[in-house]
Amino acid sequence: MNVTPQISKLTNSAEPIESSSKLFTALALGAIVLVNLFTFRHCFGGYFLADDFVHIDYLYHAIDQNFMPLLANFWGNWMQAQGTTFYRPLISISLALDYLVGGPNPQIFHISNWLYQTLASCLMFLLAGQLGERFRPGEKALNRSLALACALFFSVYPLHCEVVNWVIARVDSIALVFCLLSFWLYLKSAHDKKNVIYKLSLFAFILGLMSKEMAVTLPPTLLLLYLFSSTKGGLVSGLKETKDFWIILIVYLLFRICVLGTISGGYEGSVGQGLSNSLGKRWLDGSLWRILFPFNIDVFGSKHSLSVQLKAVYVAMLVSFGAALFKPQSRSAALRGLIFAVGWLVLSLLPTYQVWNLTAALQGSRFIYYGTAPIALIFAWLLFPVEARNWPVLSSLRLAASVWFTIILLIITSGNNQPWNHAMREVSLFRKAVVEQALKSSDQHLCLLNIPHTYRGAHMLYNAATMSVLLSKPLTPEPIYPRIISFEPATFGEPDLINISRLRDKTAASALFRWDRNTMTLEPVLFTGERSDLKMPARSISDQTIFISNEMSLDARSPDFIEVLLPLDQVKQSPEAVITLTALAPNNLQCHFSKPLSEATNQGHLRFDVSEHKQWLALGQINQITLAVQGLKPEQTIPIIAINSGSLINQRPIVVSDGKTLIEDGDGICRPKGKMPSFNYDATMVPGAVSVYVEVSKPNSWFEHYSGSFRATSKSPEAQHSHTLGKLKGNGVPITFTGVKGPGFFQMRLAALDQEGKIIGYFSDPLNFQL
Amino acid sequence: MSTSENFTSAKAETAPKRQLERARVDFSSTKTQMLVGAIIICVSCLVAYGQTVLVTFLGQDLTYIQAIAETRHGSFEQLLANPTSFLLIDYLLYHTNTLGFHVSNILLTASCAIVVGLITLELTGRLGNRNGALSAIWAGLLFSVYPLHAQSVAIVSGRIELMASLFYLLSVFLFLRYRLIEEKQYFPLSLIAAALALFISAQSLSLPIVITLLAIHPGRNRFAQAKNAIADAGSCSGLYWLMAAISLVIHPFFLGPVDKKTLLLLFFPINETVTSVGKIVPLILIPLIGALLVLLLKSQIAKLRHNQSVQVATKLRSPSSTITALVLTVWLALAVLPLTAHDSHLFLAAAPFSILIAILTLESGNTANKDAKLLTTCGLLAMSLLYLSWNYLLAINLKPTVEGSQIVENFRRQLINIATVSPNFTLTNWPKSHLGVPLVGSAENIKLFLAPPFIDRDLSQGLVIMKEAPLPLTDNSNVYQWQQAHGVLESVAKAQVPEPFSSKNMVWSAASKPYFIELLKGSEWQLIDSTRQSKDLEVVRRGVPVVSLLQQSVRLWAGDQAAIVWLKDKITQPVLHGDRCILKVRIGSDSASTVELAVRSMSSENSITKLTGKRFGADMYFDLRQSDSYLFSGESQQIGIVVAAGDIVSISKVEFVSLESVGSK
Repeated sequence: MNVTPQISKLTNSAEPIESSSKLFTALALGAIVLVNLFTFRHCFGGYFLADDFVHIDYLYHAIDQNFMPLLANFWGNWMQAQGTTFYRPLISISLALDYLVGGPNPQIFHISNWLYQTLASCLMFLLAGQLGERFRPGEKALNRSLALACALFFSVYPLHCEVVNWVIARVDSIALVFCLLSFWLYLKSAHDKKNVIYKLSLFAFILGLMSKEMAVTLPPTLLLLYLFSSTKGGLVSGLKETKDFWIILIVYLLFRICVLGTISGGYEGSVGQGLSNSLGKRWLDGSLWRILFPFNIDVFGSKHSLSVQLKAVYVAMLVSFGAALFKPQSRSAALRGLIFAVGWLVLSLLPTYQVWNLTAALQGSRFIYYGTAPIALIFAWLLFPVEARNWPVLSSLRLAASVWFTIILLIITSGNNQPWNHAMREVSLFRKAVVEQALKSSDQHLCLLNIPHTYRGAHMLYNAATMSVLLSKPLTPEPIYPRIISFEPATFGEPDLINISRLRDKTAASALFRWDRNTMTLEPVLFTGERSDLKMPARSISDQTIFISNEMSLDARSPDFIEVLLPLDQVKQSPEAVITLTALAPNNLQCHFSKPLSEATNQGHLRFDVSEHKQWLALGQINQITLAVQGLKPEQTIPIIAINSGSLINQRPIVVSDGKTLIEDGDGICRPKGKMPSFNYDATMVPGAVSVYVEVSKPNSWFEHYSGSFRATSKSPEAQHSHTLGKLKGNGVPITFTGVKGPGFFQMRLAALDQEGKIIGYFSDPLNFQL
Repeated sequence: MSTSENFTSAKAETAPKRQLERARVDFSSTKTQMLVGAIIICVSCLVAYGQTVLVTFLGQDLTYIQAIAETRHGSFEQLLANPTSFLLIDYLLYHTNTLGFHVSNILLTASCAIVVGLITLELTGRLGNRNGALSAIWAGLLFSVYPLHAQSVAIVSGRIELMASLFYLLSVFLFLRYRLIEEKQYFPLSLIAAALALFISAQSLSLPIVITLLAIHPGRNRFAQAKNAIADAGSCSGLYWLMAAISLVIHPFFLGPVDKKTLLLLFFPINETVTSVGKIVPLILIPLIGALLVLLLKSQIAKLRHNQSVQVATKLRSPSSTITALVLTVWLALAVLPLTAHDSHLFLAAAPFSILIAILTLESGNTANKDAKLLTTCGLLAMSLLYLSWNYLLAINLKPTVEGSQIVENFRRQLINIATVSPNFTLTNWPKSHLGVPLVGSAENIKLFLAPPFIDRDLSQGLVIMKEAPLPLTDNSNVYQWQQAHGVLESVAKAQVPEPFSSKNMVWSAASKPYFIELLKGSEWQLIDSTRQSKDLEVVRRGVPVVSLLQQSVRLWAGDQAAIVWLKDKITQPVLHGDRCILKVRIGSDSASTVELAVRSMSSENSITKLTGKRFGADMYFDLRQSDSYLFSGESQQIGIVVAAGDIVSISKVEFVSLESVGSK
């Protein structure tokens, strides 16, 4: 075949370039959609998780019965919720639309979530192209590469799993969609304020503000762009340029103060206080590092070979950017673009300062979702800082690095998606198993233990409120929740802690079942052991040995604590040494408790408060325990003087609802049924008691959140009200005497006082009530 | 395609004074290059598969040969029922001499590789190719040594796949010829090849899709000027679709999903029972990454030229290699997709895969360009590395077949010797497979060894085969079993009444303390009596497994590593004792943990087989018949209970139960 090569000049007319640009945009957008589809393909078969249930219940009542609360979101606190202050009316509207289409069918909600993520990815492509054009006008090929790389990095970024898989986490994706849309339209309008596109941009910004507070970062971002992009001008002219956005922002903030009473909002009660107290720790515990190395530690382990590859790509990015700095004519644009992207990232992180909590299992990654937009831009900018027209090798390597980076991120995202898929499946199976069990015994109550809380960073069922929706209409056609007794925290809290008084009371008449997370089945917990005390002989143990008890038959509900008696001199010698107590059931279920010797009392007693832990009670019967010590010096042994168990029945008063005006529901929360809700108490069993001390918590605060235990021995500084009652026993005492007023969840607890007014023994298990 | 002069020879001149022009070979001619390439491909096949010529009949081969032999007695039923009619010619030529069969297989493989080369030549021709037959030869060479060809070529019955693939590839090639030039005779030939391919294998069901895609491919062909190219493509591929629809009557259609393992196998084609994938990753990745870099570099250089506003005019008319690559990718995807439940090999998939690699790496529009020459050199380097890597992996993949052949030959020889001296005998075991390669296959195949056409007279009448061991045997003096470890067919010693199982009728608990003291003597296990009466031995060493005796059960604590409690019983000739096949371990109905079973020969304690059981209520059942070494090694066996690392399990009973008592479980 002989074909004579002909040389022809490339046509310079605008039309082919325009059409090729459109074709590229269409193909790129198609590819972005496909990549998103592939990355999150498993989410479509998912289920609801955690807070989703609260919203499902809200929608069920709003759409099927009274839609006014839905509209009230526009002029009040989101969902009229207690414990949180947010302004997010558009989120409920988006959920309501899904509900209208498919009812409580989770698939529709998941399709929407995927759609928001995909829309954000597509807008990221369009916006990055515009931003590239802003900094490097005329560099079409370079800006195209930048836009596509940026959108692909964003599509597969491993910190998006929470937002895509968890229905209610759409808060972040919807807000980002509107902000990106507004940003892109703003750039597209070319600052022509009479342009329809510009007006649309302002409208999208308003919608963003109605979705999540994060949208407030848009005006400063636009100002930042103005300052760093090629346009000449200072801060004042920048403010003038973006003044419409600032006006909207100020109006929004004023409106927010009017309807919510606060500018910042967020979480209240002990949850909000806990967040405030741990602010520094949450920002400095390596969570920022996880943005660059987004591995879920429960999936990938603490060190994974892919992190080396990620480091290699990051080095490649820095080298690529460093090489660009040697080119004087494009150095300025490259640097200014990068500084803008970093500034955008900082701005996007600022509003999350209060709630930021990116754990090692990537729980809380939704807080960085907005920030992943500038992160993707930074990565793409580092890879494509300047045109490499005469350097085909460099441009090849840049392309290869982009593909490589996308593949690595995709692999990590696939891994990070797994816990969410598992969690959704487990919640669905849990519902099925509970319904089956409830139908088997249609006239009895069912006590449930070990309800799945989280799985490798994925949220599941945190509290009784979410479970109540799971087991009621519309998710369960035959509502069985009224027959369920659960021991979960009312809102949020340590899932392993349990009110043992309540469990002893409830399991006396009803069967207890535990959810086995390995087999994903509901198993009965049989309290077949004896209600006796444990006394074991003395033994010496070292780091190299383990103490194994003889066989016993102990009802797990019987002892309140197990105490290890140690010689004081040994305790002082090795305070860091840790003693681990392991209990075994006949079916070989195990539970472990560890404590350092430094926590031993002055008498050398190291106490394990076993009965306030679900993992202990789930064993039902204890038939063997072991004791091991770690952290001793070589050849050092510790003589264990004795291992005893004991009860706190004579050391704690009792407080319960009166059962008439204040009635306890299956979730352990008492709710008033009369005008004067009252409680009963008894402290006569505590030897030496002369009066009773009463503490009531602040609204939506829980004493155990502060102390980590129900076994308090001193007064709490977090109590809102406290009183002393002269009588050791009382019936029908009105709650209002304490001065507590609603609305909110409250906790009341009692302690016996001696003649000097000191607390004897322990505080009672709390009485939880909602006003 | 190209010039007409490949071999140019001077015309004989009538004038006596004029000398004949010397014959010469024009190596710049594509045809010459392809001819030389074909010879190289043949040599490559012969070198790569040469060691297979002495491989004996394996697996289904015996059934097929026997079916063909039946035709000599006038019975054509079996022949028609089997898709190996092609072996008839071989049988007529070589009878049961495997050498001839294997030479045919190698020649067929070489033919497939040459056709792969020819298809590549057609495709690169459409791209304004200036590299002659370079890509075509390398595509053929790569195809010839693709490591997953091992079983298709080395086993005689792989002929089905070879023939189907050859006709498939021929059909594609002939179609491409028909589309390129005005030679209408290629079209019916392509249809005939397609019909044969579709008749032989359901894998060919993808052919009409490939043909349609190639017809739409905007190459330089006689239909290039047609106004409606898609309608034209549809009309010329319609007959292929019709034939595929008709072939569905023969082949039940089954569209299965592609699992990750198949995709992994495509890129890392290694028999995992011989070598792990991890070990060959660099061997494969280095040339593939090299090829990828060449491709990227090529695209960037093309962009550079484009930016310099200089463009080769032919490029505007000829389609880019991207479209060709897309067509080949679809073909590859179709070839990988299991179209029938029986698809196991990726023989045909190697064709688009090899063409894709060769075209993307070596195709170049203008060799005159300095850049293109450099790229071609880099591409050639990557191709050479890939060829060598695949060759090496092919040798590894062929090894089990060659070794398996020796095992079968050894077995066959001994079997014939025994059949000659013992007219009636029972066989309990035979070589079934070796490193993933089927050897004798089913029990029916054994009888074929003892009958014509494989031997002169029929000795198979007195042979009884124990298909489902164990069977109750009254007279076992003539029982033989194949001991794979030693490679001998040995007489089974007379079955003795087995000693009672030590744990029979015994509850595992503190009451049987003497039993456990004896059992754990000399082992790593620490024994403690944890009953209430006991006051001793309560402190144990950390990390060392513990047996804790309880009132109703025995609790086994594994340490930091998995631990095995070996039972003392010697189990001899379990193949002859049906009551030594199912072991029941009682762990309790709500047990949070389970156990595995370990089996080993008393003589070789380090070779341990682990079996998983099935749980029914409180008990776990272990079917020891899953372990060939337990049943057939001929040595006394020992069993043990495995507790996983860090695990704790309580056991109250361990006993053998009869097959009858297990019933449907």
